[in-house]
This record gives sequence, structure tokens and C-alpha cells, in this order.
Amino acid sequence: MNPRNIRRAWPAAALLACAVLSGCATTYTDGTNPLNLTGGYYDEPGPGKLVTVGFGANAFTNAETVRRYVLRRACEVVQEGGKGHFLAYTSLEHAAAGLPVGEDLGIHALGGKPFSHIYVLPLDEPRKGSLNAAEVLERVTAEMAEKEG
Amino acid sequence: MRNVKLLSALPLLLLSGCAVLPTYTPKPDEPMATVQGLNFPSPAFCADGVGYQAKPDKEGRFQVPAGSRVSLYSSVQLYDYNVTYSCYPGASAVFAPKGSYFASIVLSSTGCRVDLVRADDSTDTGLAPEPTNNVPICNPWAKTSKKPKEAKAE
Repeated sequence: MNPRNIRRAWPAAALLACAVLSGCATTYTDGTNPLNLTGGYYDEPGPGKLVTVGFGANAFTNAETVRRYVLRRACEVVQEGGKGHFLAYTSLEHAAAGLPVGEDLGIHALGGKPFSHIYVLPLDEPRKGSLNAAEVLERVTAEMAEKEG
Repeated sequence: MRNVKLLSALPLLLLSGCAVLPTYTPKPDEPMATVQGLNFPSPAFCADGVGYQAKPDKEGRFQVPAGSRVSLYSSVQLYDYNVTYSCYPGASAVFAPKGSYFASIVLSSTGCRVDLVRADDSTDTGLAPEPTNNVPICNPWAKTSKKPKEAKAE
């Protein structure tokens, strides 16, 4: 290759290397956006009086990050609904049996891609096993900023 | 000519590994229950030893026979550019006539299962455990000596 071409290609290569090294982990983004190809969060009302919240990530994202993202989205959904507390369940049967999990969401992975799918019961008042949406949101947001910063 | 075309499609159908299941036709006044599938792809069920393809509406709701044990299944196929994952989880229950239920696939790193609960507005969550929930007793995709018409005639 001509040395002049190498000099010209160097900035592009450096930019590419920076992009690769900065990581391609799934960020906190709306996973229902069809233009978003790497995953993200989703939420929908139901079943029953619950709200379904989840996050799917790519293989460059670790489980702890997914746990924080799901908690963050759950807190946002609860607050958007005008509530301050919530119970989190990892399955319909646990929700039906009244067995909340707290913050231990038990993140799973398929093909190396971590994901979480939970059911949230928004509450006006705290209850045994419930989480304070404002507190959890503040903490996980700070932890994410610390990790990214 | 038409038969030749149909015959040529048969090997493809067989090689695809997909069993074509009949649709359940309830008898007049037969008690039925409603199951809403949440994240529940390709629902099928087994009633009286015969497999049937469930026909969900836009909301994912489908009808199953009530009053006798019915095995409920889903066919999960997930894939991307380098990973293929499939599982066929099931559960069974004796559904209550006119009862409403939710069924969902629970995926985990170690496998998958069906969660089946009853809709109940009187509880905090709007859900209640289904006391008759148990492991499936019949696989709709397995070969069976019974035919749908024979089963219905019983």
C-alpha cells in the first residue's frame, strides 16, 4: 500500500478502533423502537393489575447492567403511574402466590445475551418486600453513572 | 396436476418437522375456558389424548375445553445470526368453565417452562394460583392412536 494512502486511512482506522474499544454494549434505550437493533427496555400494562417490564441486551452487556436497567425502567413506570412503591415478581406464578423478589431479579442469558422479564405491582404505600421507586431509581442511576464515568 | 403439486409439497412439510394439528371444535354447550397467552408462541393443547392447534385472537386469547385435564403447550423458536434456541414447554390443568387464565413462557439460562395462573380481580395482583396446575400428561405433537373425530365421539 502506498504510504500516502496509509496516512489517509489512519484517522478512519483510529476512529473505528475508538468505536470498537468504547464498547458496543446495549445502552438504556427503548427496545421497542424497530430501528434499535441491539435491544433495550420494554414495558406494557398487564396481566391483571401488574405491569410487565423487561430488558434484552446484546452479548457485550453484563448481567448486573441489565439488572440495573430493568430496575430503572420499573421505577420510571411506577412513578409515571403516580405511585411511589412497587413489588417485583420474576414470574406469573410468583406474582399469583405473592412472592416478590426485591432487587434480586435473577438475570438470565440465552446465547450469551442477558435479559430480564419481570412483573411489577405499583403501590401507593410501602409493604413487606416492596421497593421505594425514588430511592431505587436514584441509586441505580448513580451506580450506572459511576460505572460509565 | 393439482394432486402432483400437493404431493410435491408433502416432503417439504415432513422435512420441516412441523406436525399439522387439527383445530378443536367444541360441541354445542360444551364448557370452555379462556386462556390468554402472554409471550406464548404457537399455542397448542392436548385434550382427551388428542393434540390440537389453538387459534388465538389478536389479544392472544384462545379457548380450551373445561372440566377435564388439558395439557397446554407452546413451541418456542428463537434465533439470531449464530444462536438457535428452541423449547416446547407444557403444563396441564383442569380449567373451570368460563374461567379466565394467563399462560406465559418463562425463559431462563437452563431451560423454559409454562407459567399458568388464574385471573382473579379480587386479589392484589389480579392473579391467583391455579390449584390444578401440574405437569403435562400428553404431548400434542406426539403420535397418537386417537383421531379427533374418535375422541369427540366418546
